[in-house]
Amino acid sequence: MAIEAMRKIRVAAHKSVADDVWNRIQRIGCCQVIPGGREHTEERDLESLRTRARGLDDLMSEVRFVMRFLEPYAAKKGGLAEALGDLPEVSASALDAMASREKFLKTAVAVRALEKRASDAKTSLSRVTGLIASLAPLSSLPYSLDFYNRGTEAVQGNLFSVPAALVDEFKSRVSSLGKDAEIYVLSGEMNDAAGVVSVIYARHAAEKFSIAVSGIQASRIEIPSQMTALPRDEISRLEKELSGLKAEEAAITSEIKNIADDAWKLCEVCSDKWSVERAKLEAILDGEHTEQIIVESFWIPEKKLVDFKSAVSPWKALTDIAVSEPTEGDEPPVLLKNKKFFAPVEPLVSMFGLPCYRGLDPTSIVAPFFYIFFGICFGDAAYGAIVASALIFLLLRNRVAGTIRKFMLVLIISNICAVIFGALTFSWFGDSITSFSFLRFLAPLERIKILDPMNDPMTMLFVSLAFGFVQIFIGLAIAMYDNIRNGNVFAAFADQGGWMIFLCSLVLLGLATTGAVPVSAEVFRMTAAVGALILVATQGRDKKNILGKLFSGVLSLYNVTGYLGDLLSYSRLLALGLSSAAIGTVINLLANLVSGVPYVGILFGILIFVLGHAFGIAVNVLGAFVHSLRLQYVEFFGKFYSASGEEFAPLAVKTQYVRLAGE
Amino acid sequence: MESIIISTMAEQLGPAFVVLGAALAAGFAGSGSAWGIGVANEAAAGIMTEDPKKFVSALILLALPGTQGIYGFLVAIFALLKAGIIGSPVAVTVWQGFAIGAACLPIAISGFYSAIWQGRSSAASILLVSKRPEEMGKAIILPAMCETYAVLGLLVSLLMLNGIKIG
Repeated sequence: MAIEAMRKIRVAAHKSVADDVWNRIQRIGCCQVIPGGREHTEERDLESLRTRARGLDDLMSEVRFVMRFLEPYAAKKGGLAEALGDLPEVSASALDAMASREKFLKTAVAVRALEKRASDAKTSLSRVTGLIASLAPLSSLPYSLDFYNRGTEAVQGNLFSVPAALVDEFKSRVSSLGKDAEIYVLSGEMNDAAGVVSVIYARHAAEKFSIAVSGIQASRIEIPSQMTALPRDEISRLEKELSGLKAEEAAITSEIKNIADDAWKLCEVCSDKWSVERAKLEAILDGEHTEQIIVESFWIPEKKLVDFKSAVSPWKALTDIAVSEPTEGDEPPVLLKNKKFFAPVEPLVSMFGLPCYRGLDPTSIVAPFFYIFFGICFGDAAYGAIVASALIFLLLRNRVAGTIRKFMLVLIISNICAVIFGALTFSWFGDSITSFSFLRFLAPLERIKILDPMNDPMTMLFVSLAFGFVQIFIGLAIAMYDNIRNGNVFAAFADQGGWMIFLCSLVLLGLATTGAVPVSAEVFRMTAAVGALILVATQGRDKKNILGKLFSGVLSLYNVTGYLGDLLSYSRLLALGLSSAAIGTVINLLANLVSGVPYVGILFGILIFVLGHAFGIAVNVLGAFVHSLRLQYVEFFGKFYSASGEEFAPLAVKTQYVRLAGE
Repeated sequence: MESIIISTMAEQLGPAFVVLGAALAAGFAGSGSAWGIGVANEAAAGIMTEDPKKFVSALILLALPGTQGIYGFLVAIFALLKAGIIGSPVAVTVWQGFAIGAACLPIAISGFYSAIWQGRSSAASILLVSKRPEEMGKAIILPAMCETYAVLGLLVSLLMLNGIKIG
């Protein structure tokens, strides 16, 4: 339950070694840049670094372009290992050798060329396909197409698309021109909507013709000027062109595929190398620059100071280090520090928000409650064993680090709790041991059963609420401690103390009246009255006049409903535990029913059992996780926690595709 | 003659109430879940047009309103088991049947409404993770606030069923 002590460290380095020093700082990954303080920096001192940064930005954007283009073609190993953050290991010198700028630029040029060819081919393909589609209705036309675009000296042709119902009228209007025009309706191409009509007329009758057909709903079909032959000849020529284009496209695709894998790998290493380099430059640029020297301040965990000093010792002659404690006005970043058993819960706490630097870290209290609550909600020994062993297997087989590792550890410990709790309630795949006769040999497991939530839910409800009471009480105690620590002793006893006495007395009073506690109820009636009096007397202390003080004091007792609500919220432990046991029971019931069917029954029974319980696991893991977490966030944190801290984000080697060796 | 009819009615009316209650529990809680997931799906499909890789986080969020349907289904099965309509038959009086039927109502009603509103919360949370994937934790907690009341409904239904003595 603690937060790492932070120190401010100011590093001054001569420009000649700055790159190496910051490289080192980045590699040890425990220093967070404190930005600001650049008032003595002249722009010209930054120019060369800026240029380098811009160069890297350009390269990175090229990398992103190439990767986006290659993504559908490259074989990525991907899958589980990558999702778990298990990346191939590469040494720094190997990465430098692999991520060659020249090689990448060459690849990028090749990829750009391929991309151009591919997009050209695509454009031509769609053009030719479009032309074929537009010529298709004309395939039975017996005249060559140059009649319709250029015409001859004496005649000009037009093609019209005419609505089917108007074709006859169109025909009669054109025939009124007599010998000056000749109409031809394309046979076989007439569909319900529109027909294609060809008209060839003498040039001198052009005006007469356009008057004759004016007012009729016919749209002219334009023929591109390069189409001159018979439509069916044009179509077959285009089809030949089309198959040529398709072959070209296939060739380009196979060319891309040929280079894709190697190029992708190159992009991965380049992307990692340059983004690390870029982050370092960013950090250096945040520092104070003079003509000769770069000065920068960092936050560093106190325990890393020794590491830091030994890391930069090779450049001792050209660097200077000054360490100082954070001052009153500083708000250092927060890095949680917890024992191994509690540490996995840290991501859950930081998901809500980190404590402030001088605040309290609730991790070590959240951890046991979260583990137990998850265990009760998940509530089945077999489910817990399956999930825990699957996660342990993944953890052993893959090199998992950071937040994902912590998440997996949380789930493993929680699922072990589920095994324990499931065993205590005799829940193994629900009630499978009693419902399947061939599992009867496991019946001795029933001997460790101490609770039966299905048949005796009230006891389990009591257990759930008891956990809730303890946790709420701890929440109040922490708030009290925090108040005392900050010198608000009065507030500690009035606010938290009053409530603690009042709530405790109420619960004991309830227990005493039912005879569960062998003390007279009168005693607790008295203590409850004392608690209530403290609250009435103190809760209105911000109000000005005596009436206001009294009124607010009495009104504050109403908050007991809030505590009651919080407490009852813990009944979800019972409800979710019951629902996982019940889902298991229902699945066993269905499997049993089906397995009675002759011949295929057993097979279907097994299928229902396996799929059903897999479904049960998926649903219940999600529910157990979410609700256990909610109890921490809403009911527990609500009592004392203010998450106002800022996460410690050191300058470090952050890679996406490979892991630098020797970290 | 009349007494025979009434006694036959009583024999059949008890289980009929149970069937009605089970139908309401499975039907309404299930409909609520389908509704809620449908609402969440619209948001999920929307963010996947921008980034198909968000599928997994969207899937977790949109699965959240699905639990009500399971709760309703559970209560329905337990009611039917209790009244011997599935499993080993038992005699259920009119009033026992009525009580079992009534015990199904908390999850039927709270499941229906909470699933719809949880679906809308999930949809909002899906939009949240589309912009800020690192806030997945908070995004999961928000819809879970709605589910609390379905969990309480389930709890009350189960406690009621447990409290009704048959035979």
